[in-house]
Order: sequence, then structure tokens, then C-alpha cells
Amino acid sequence: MGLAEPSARQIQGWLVSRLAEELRIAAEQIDVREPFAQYGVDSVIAVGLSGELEDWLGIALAPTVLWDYPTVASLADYLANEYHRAGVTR
Amino acid sequence: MSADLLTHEAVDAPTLVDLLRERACRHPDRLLFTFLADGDTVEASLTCYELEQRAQAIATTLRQTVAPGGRALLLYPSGLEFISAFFGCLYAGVVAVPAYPPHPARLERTLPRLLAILSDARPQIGLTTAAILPLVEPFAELYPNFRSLAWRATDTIALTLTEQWADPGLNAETVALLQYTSGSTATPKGVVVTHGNLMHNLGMIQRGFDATSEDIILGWLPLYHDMGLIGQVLQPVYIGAQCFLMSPAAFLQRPVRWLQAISRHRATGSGGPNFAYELCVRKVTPEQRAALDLSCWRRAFNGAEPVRHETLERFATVFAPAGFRREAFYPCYGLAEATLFVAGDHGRGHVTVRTIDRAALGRGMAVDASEGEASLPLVSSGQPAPELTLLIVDPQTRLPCEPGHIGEVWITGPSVARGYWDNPEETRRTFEAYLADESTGPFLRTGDTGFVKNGELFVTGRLKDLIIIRGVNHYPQDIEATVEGCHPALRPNSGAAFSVEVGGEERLVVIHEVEAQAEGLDLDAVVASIKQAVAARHDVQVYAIRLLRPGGILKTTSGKIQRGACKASFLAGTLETV
Repeated sequence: MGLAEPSARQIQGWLVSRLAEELRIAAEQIDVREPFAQYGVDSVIAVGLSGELEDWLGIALAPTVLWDYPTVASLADYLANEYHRAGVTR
Repeated sequence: MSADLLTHEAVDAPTLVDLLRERACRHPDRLLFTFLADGDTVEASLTCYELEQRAQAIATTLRQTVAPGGRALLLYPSGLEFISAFFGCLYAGVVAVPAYPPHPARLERTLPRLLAILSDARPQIGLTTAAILPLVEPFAELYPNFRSLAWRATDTIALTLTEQWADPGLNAETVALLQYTSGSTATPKGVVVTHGNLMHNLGMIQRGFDATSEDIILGWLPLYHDMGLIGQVLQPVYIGAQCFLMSPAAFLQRPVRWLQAISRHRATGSGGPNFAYELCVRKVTPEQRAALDLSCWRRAFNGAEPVRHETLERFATVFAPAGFRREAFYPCYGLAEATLFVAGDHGRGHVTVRTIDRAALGRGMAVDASEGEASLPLVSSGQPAPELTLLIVDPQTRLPCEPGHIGEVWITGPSVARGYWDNPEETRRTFEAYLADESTGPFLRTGDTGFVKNGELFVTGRLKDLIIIRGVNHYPQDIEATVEGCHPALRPNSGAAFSVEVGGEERLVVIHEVEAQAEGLDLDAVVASIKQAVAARHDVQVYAIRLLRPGGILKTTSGKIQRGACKASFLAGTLETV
């Protein structure tokens, strides 16, 4: 993979910057504890980001992962855990 | 050759049951459907014979509880079981009502529409898969609409029942399906589609696309929607061609999967709404592009939302090195009320684009723009199918428009559906329009505006205020109701939702009045509530929100919201915001 195990904080950073890009708003406007829906994340963006996260982290994710973990903070925690678990079994 | 023979034989079948029976009898081992899990690995497949066997077994089970003419709700995830169940309904003479299973994490958005469909269609049975069944059964306790519904998983029905199947004796007038893609969330309208409508429209599509049994169809569109159901499920059966399917989620996760599957399976016919092409341009990397060979792609159809000239240009340029041919673009126009297909470019190998004068367009005239004038490139939706009569009509005078004038698109012909289910008033308004002479008709009023130039249809907009974003229709009154209910400071019946074009795409604008006495109101909190509620219920990102003083929303004397005037004020920057 060549990817050092990313921390939840790094994943948060990635999510905030990608969301800001997709939503065409400033990264500072995104509060990691507010639900994605508050920023108008629709299914095209949400499902698209699940695919990009799979590519980046090399783990399999449900297309609905952004609804199951509906904030930047909760999603990043989940992803960091999943990444760690996948690494342990690899 | 045999392929042509097969195509011509199909035209004689009066119903889809006759059609599949013929296919299963003559070409039992021909592979019809292959489902690609994650858009990649083959998960399941169905030959003509296998599909008929599944349909007969499901039909036999259905007939134990539902009489011919009854209705069955189809609640399936993307996959081949939906196809078996759909044909199962037809083989039982039962009307299929396709819908989409609500996602547990997103009930707020998906459930209200399903509940409204249930109370409108009043199906006797709900069909689904064994995996979904435990998710939907508990709904009966929560929602009265579900209580009268018996549920049945079709993927566990034994094939041994096939032998007991009895032909329900259908004809072209038999209703095949209720298509719920029209109407607002609160009052959905089910288009009543007969076997005759479907067979007629499938014939038009086949001729319009020059399709044969040697075509290879590939798609990711949702199968409960008219474009997915008719284009990707029924058309392959009609022409006897192989079809590869993947889920919409597989495409949205990685748009490149769509193009990779076309390249790998040498697909000739595939398409979707304009945004799908846009996503590919944005998200497919140069390395991924280098591995694609799209030279097989003969018909890249683009429909269900306005076709953008810039998108076609960008896609053609970006994917030309991957073998994509610009001539493959196939912009088309259609609607569920006309079964599906109405117009599509065919056989000329190029897409006509007219550069129209914007100022003249605002006055209802289609005039080619002269140098230096503000202009709008409009992509032709192709030629109206010769089997239909299409007129451009002035909706006020009900007289056909003079050439060069923009009017409402009116259609008549055997593809026009029978009407809206159990809704005589809306049926009369939409399906039974007559010209001013009161004798020429009846016509279907599409609600779309456009003009015809050199035999080609150009769609310019909507007569009503329908908002189309990413191929999905949104009714402004639905969004306005959501907004009104999301924060106590928002005044009732005092908001407008409309779309504006930003950077080549439709974006949603919400304007709403706030209460005068709301001193010290946290405006940011109101804006956040609106964004969250609209995204949660309608799956749309609000592009702009303006909060107005009481009286700021323009209304008619009878109190109806004037969305057009509100939009003009928004664009002119003259709204009086708080």
C-alpha cells in the first residue's frame, strides 16, 4: 500500500478537504461534529466519497457508509479502526 | 441472417408474455442478463429459458393470493431477482408496481414516497428478496399502509411450480405496470402502462437505435425507474440481445466501473442522464482512461435531464484517446407518460447544436444568435419517432405554434399511456388535451416546452416549475413544505424553491420569509436547518438560501407563489433579504 497507518485526525483532514471541494465551500465552514446532511451532502457525493475512501485506504466500504457514520468525526473514527483491523489481518 | 429474423419476429408478439415465451422457445440457451457485482465480477445470470422458468414459478405463487388485474409492489435491490419478479407479475396477469426498498439509515427521505405509493396503488402483495424481507415486515406495525399487505420473498420460490403455470390469456390492452415517477412526494401519480404501450415503445426504441440481437447492452440505471426498466430490462428481451447490469451505487462509487464494463464486455448500447457523463469526466483518472477501449460503444444515449453541450464536448475530448467516438452520442427525449421514448437522433452520426439568442428565447422565440449577442447552445433531442405525432402547441390558445415559436410539446400515438392510476381528474388534464377546434386529439400534454427545427426537437424548459437535478425530478411544493417545517421562524406558505443554472448545471435555490417578531434570530441556524432538511428529505444540496422579510415573496392575488418572478428577482439581485 505504501500508506502509513492514517490516524483519525488525518482521515478527518482528508474528509474535510474533499467535502469542501465537492460542496464548493471553505474547509473552515465544516464542523466535524455536524451531520453531513447539514452541508447538503447528497447521495451522488456520499456514495462517490465512499469509493474514493476505498481507493485511498484499500479497505472495502458500504456505499452507504456516510449515512451509517453521519459526521466527519464519527466516520473518521470508524475508518481508522477499520484500517487498523484490516492491517492486523493482512 | 438469423439475428434480423429474430428481431422481426418479435414485432408480432402482442404482449411481453408472448415475447418472452417466443424467446424461451426459440433460443432457450441464449444468455439475456448478467449482473456484475461491484460492476466487475459476474454474480448471476439468466438465459431466456431460465427467466421464463423463474417467471412461471413466481406467477404460480402469486396467483394463489392475487387475482389477475391485482397489483404487486416490487421492492428489490438492484439485481436479477427484480427482473424475474417483474416477469412473474406479467405471467400472472398481475400489475407490477416497482418501487425502491427504503434504506434503514435514510427512512426520512425514502419512506414518505413509498407510503404514498402504497396508499395510491393499494397493492395486494409486496414482493422482495429473502434478504430484504426482515427489513420490511416490521413496517406493518409502524405504518397502517403496510398492514393490508402480504409479503413474499421470490428468490426462495421453488422452480417445480413452473409446471402448474396457467396462461392468464393477456392481450395488448392488459395493464402491465404502474410507473410511479410522476407527481409530488405527497401525491404520486402512477402512469398506467399497458402491454400494447410497451410493445409499441420497444419497437420505436429498436428502430430509433437501429438495435439488433447482436447489440450488447450495459447499464447501471435503477430498474424501478422507466429508463432502467424499459431500456435495460425490456429492450434486451425485445431485441434478444445480451445485457450486463450493475447497481447505481456501484457506478456512483466509482464511475470508471461503468466505462471499464463497457470496455471489457464490448458493450454497444449504454447511457444515462447528463450528470453521469459529467461524473466520468471529473472522476476518471488518466491512468484509468489509458486502459479503456470504448471503440465498441455505438449508442451513448443521454436523456432524463437537459443534455448539455459542454458535457458532450468535454466527454468526447477526454475519452477520444480511449476510442470513444463522438458520433456515438445519442441525445434523446422521453417521459413515463409516453411509456419512455419519444425522440432520438438516429442514423445521421452527429449531434445538432443550435446557438439560440437568449433574449429572443425569453420572448418565446427560437432565433439563432448573431455574433456578440447573449446566446445559449441547445442540443437537439433528435427526431420525434415517426410512429408518434408530436406538435408544438401554445398552451393558452391551444393552437399549433408557428415555426420558430416555442410552445408545449404535445404527443399522440400508441405509446401514450392510458392515464394516471385512479386519478380521472389528472388524467383528463394531462392525457386528454384537444386543440382549439375541440376535435383534434386527444393529446398528451408533456409539460415540457420546446420547438422543432428541421425535423428535430429542441427542449427549452418546463411549463411547470419542475426542478430537475441529476436526472431526478423534484416538485418545488415538496421542497417548500420541507423548508417551512424545519424551523419555527419560517412563515407558512411564504417560500419558493426553484433552480438556476450555475456552471452548466441546475442548482437549487430556496427563498423564504422569516417572522417579523423573531428578534435576535440566529439566521445561520435557520440556514443550517434548511440545508439539513432539504438534503435529508430530497437528497439535494441547496446552492443558495435567501431569508426575506414578511411580504418579500411574490404571490398572485389568490396567494399562489410566483416562482418565476421570485427567480427573476433572485437573479437580478433585487430580493429584500433580512
